[in-house]
Amino acid sequence: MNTVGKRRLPVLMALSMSVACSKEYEITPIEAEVDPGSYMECPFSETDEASISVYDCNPVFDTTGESWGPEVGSVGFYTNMVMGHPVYQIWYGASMDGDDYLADWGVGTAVSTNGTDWEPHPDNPLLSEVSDAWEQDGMTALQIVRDDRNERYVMAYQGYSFDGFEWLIGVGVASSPDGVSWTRSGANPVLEQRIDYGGGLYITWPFALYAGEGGGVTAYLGGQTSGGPVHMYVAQLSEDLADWNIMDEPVLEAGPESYDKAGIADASVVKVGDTYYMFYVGFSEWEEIAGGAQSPRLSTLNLATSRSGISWEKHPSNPLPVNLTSEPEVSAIASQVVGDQIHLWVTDNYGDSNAVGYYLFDPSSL
Amino acid sequence: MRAMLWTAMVLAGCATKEGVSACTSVCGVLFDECQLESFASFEECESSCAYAEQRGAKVDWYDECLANVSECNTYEIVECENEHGW
Repeated sequence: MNTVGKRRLPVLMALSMSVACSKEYEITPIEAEVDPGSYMECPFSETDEASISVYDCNPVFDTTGESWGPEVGSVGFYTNMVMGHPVYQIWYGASMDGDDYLADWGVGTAVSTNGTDWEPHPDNPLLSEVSDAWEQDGMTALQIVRDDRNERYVMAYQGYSFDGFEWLIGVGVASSPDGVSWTRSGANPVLEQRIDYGGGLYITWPFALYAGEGGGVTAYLGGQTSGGPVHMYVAQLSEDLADWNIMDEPVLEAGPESYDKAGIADASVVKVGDTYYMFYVGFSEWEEIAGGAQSPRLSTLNLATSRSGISWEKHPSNPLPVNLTSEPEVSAIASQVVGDQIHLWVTDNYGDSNAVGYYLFDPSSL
Repeated sequence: MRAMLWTAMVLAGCATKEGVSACTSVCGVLFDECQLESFASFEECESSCAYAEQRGAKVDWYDECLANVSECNTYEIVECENEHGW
């Protein structure tokens, strides 16, 4: 009996080890293939533009229903990749009344594992107005980027206050190690709309933030000279985010095309291979709002590409056919490369209110 | 004695694939326990995890981080990725 047992022992041991560890040997490293249509409730459909598909059950975000900010304004999207799979995160400026430019405001965040169901953070609002601060009456044009090199998120926004006669409008910046605890820069407002930044250049609001792999944050900004159209300028931010070094010349000029003849309102920049893709909101008219201030009107989504990230070429098929209303009201754009596609979140008029729709862009089809 | 020897050998055999074992544990949290919807299957999660490890993810630390996540808190999962992913 002992003899038989000894003969079988090596076989038994090998078999046991094989069973115990077999699963480990079967694992083959494979890059995740992200197909939102496979895990979201609805599929994506083709549009008139071959490179763009649209989620059939848009919008994917309108409001979280939080009492501190029932009306969502500007939105910043970021897709956190967890083991190569998307966990969507959104930061949103919200106010008690979307039609009141001076209503109480705050900034919140929410996450989603499927792109449609959002879980607001229990600490919302993460930022809110501070009495007598330069941006006590409002914030908009929220932009977010993940600066991996410095292990932080960076936020830029337009803030303002209005004393009944005069607007004080500027650009603010804040940073956060986790996207939840934010610290405003002590240098805020880092830019002011009433200051001439050289050659009669006045900065309007931030369009986009971009963090390069090598470090450093770039801001794309609106700028006007002599009351002309809002062109796009670029600024390099110091590591502490306090100093914004603005290049003298615009990197993308508004007009003469009709879709952006009055200016550029928002943008988002990504890089695929050697090419930068800039999705931007162009507008063709202004409309008057309170206190003599103006806001963009007739706004569409457009595309420009670049090899350098500095000099851009507008796409010949602009504007991209994503706007929902006959008088186009696209107000914001966020984009991110996920796998081999560019994911787009487009803020538009969904009837009762502005909301965010989800689109996919295939850069290989250009 | 034989049982002790057998146990020791099995442990030694598995120990050489410690990183892959961590992937199995990581996917036990991400796919089985927390049911992140963009993962197609447990096996797909493991393959993605192994790929992430090849690209520099610190999967053992990732696994430890996930063990401290309370009730599948998505924000904490994202933080684990930011700290130990690639």
